[in-house]
Amino acid sequence: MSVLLDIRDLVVEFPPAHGDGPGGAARVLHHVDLRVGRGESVGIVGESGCGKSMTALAAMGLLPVSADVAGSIVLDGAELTGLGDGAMSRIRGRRMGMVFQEPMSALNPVRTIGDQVAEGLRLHFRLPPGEALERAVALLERVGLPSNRFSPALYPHQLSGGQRQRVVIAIALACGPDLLIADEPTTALDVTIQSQILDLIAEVTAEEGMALLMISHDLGVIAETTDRMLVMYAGTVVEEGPTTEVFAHMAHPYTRGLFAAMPARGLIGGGRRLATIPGQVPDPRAPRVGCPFAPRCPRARERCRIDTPAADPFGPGHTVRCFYPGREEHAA
Amino acid sequence: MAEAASLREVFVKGVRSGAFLLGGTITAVFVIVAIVAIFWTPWSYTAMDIPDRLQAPSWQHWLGTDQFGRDVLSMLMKGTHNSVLVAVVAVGIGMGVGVPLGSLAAARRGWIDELVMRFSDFAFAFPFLLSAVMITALFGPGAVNSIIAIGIFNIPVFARVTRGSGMAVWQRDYVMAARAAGKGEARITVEHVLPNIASVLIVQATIQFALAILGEAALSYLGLGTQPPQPSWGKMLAEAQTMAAIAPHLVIFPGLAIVFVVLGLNLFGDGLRDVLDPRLRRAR
Repeated sequence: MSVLLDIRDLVVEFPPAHGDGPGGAARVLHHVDLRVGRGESVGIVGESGCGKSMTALAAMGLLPVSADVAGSIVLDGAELTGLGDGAMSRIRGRRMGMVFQEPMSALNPVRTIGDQVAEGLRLHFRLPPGEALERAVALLERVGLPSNRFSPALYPHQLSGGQRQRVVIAIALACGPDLLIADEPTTALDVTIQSQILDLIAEVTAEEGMALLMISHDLGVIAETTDRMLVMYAGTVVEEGPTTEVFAHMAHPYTRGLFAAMPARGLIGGGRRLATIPGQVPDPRAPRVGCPFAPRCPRARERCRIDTPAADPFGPGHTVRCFYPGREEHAA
Repeated sequence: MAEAASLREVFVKGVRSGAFLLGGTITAVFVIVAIVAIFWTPWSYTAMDIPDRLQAPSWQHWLGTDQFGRDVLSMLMKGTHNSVLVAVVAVGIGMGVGVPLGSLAAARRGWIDELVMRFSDFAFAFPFLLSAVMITALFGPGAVNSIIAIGIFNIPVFARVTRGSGMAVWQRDYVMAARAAGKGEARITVEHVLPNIASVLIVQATIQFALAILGEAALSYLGLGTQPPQPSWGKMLAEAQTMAAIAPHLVIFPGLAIVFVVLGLNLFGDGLRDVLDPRLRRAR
């Protein structure tokens, strides 16, 4: 499988702003490596603020202007870092599409859905408005909004959350990108709608041979939709491997903590309290010594607070950044 | 977020809003008078008729005659035309320059934003009328120069309003989504930002329109605006001042015209805001 998106040694920092109090630059990504093969679906999982969305935004070139970016982002052999906004605009939407978390606010309230789906086609393929609208209607149909029930002349506020997310997906698909980035696409939706949207994303990416980068805090979502997964903690990839392999042999204590914190299905009202991971994510402005997870880690030892673990192989295609990986909570 | 209001909704809400209806009607009457005056006035607004001077309103001269025997209604109509013309062009200049500047500042931020905003501060630091007097004193009195003077002071107003509301729109997720779809700043500004702030700009325009009419009247009153033989409300007031005791109608009618058009435009602007922006109405 040839590599489509190749992110190497990505470091993202925000310089201290006025009135931020003491502290240096906030480093939100620490030497992140991420590879997505053509047609492959890769998941990034982690809690809020772990840098998973930042990674996606960096790939799209959509980080705030104040961010300092170092490292390399290569899409299909072409380096993206250092490209101007104009050059980046020709890639966004055309080569990479993005689905956002909030379908309520990701659509412009004053423009019709047909218009919003069509505009990518007009922009990137210079299609005449009539033809673009025709294709938009076909795209809306493709994502489950047939034109006999959902006129392209509808406004976003006339649709439900799930229907709006379908429109957002249609926009992302419009130009047939090689890579679809979905940033928490189901988080804002009803549970009953979530699996429909996930199925839709899985179905269209598989049919078009599109690569998928799925970002979620929900291990269930990652398990359902991805071939390979990365677990991020405090701006670092702590575990990476084929999804089935990682689920079968969780090596990093943080991954195990995330898994334990998932509400078990069918146990609602069963009296079991949800497990939590004690402590808080470290301050991104603080200088980093040792393993970032050490302060919250049940297995942490002296060495964890001094040295930073490297990504070591753990199983087939499976790497982990931990000195004491594995199943046992009280390993030697 | 204000939901998209169709024209029909705007119309229905507008009819229910008293301010919108009253203000709109007054504004419409003045605009119609201004247009009619291009083609027709009851008498020639320049024709003097000394024997008939300083007449009170009569069937022949509905609003009376001035000290040269000119028909006050005809002068008032032509004056309406001149006022509206000055205001339209001045607000046009203000929007034409201010909206692009404000959009640029909102899209680019950084030093461009600083530059535009400091320029606005600079312009706001001078009292509008004093500066307008200075500009017309420098470049000579006349309608064109008063248009320029009023127009220049509309630029920072529109630049600020556009920048402020534009920046709020730039924070929205759908702008991020538009960028993710590959749109550049110019396209996002035209397709997303401006449509979302159109209602704010329209309301601001009606208010600036009223101020421009007042400004034009003030400049003409001082003899710096519209020049004879073209009549203007301000000039009519200035000339009638000394005769207020013997011919009060010469003061009353231009004064009423100014009061009504400014009141009408303000009511219209308030009403429009109520109709276009449901959020503001609820906040009351």
